[in-house]
Amino acid sequence: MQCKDIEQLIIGLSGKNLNREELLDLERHLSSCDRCACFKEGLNRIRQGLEAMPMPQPSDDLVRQTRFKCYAKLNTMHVAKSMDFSHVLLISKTTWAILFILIALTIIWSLYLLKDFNMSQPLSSQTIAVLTLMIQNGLMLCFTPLLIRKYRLRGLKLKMI
Amino acid sequence: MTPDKGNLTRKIGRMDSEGFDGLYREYKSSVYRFAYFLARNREEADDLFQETWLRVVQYLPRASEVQDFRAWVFTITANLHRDALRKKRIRRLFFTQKSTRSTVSDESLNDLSINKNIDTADDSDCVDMSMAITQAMANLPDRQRSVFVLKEIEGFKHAEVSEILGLPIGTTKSLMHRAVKRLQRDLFDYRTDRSRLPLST
Repeated sequence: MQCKDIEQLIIGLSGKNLNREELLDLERHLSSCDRCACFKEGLNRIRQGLEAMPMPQPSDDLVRQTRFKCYAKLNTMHVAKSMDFSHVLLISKTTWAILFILIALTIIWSLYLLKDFNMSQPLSSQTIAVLTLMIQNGLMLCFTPLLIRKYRLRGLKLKMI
Repeated sequence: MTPDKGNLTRKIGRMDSEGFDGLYREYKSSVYRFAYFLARNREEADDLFQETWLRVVQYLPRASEVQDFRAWVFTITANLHRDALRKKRIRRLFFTQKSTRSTVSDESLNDLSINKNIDTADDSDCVDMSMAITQAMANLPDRQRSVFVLKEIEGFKHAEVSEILGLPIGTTKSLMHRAVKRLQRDLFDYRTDRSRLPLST
């Protein structure tokens, strides 16, 4: 093993990550290499120095101030979450499917009724009434999702008041 | 997962102040320690510490997916420090300030020694050694210092250090090796009993 690899093993000693074979290789090398022995000695002294070194601590003011700011931020996030109605305003897939089917049926019936326009005969009042109802029905179905969202939001706002 | 950690995860998942409190109480000292060694002065360390915890609160909803909270919080600290350094470099570029390596201020060095009661010559020697190590660590390049602090002081493994700093494992090992070499070289002149003892050749 080269000295560079041995030095890596020495650094790894603190975490006791070395297996038996690596430890034996290390001891064998250290007994014959002064440079690596000095490296190990130096690292041990640094580690001893670190153990003796008093570690920096946050001041009480800083701890208190930081906690206060974090609580304030948490409260803001809670309020924002409670004001978020997007999950309520989401329209379910079933509702979308029903709306799509109704719109498709409306279009099919409208097209069937529109055959009357191709024949050169005047439109009867009943036909016009039915056509008007069909168009109204179609428009209502198209705008239903918007109406659902609008009335749900209004309902929620009323509850909050 | 221990029962305590499981509880903490559930509380954090609810974005609870109790969940945050648990994290804060457990890790505030080690986060400050890391921030201090990264920033090399108290003022910047205080800012980094505060910013880290505000970010923790911001990302709290995602915390339930996290396996190792400690490494996660340290990652936030390291990323914030890196962003701060990037901004400093850009500012230096525009205002053509000389890049001066900031060393640990005398006040900060005194902060570290102030709690140690100096009663004997040995204690005095320990304080000198501690200050020498602190100064030597402050002189390390940023990446070497980060790796050294995470590995030797915080006790993370190389795999965890590489995740925290976003570096390959090989790079973290190499940085650690260079940091140790440099510290030994810088501490070469440290005298015990006023005799010149090399730490390494």
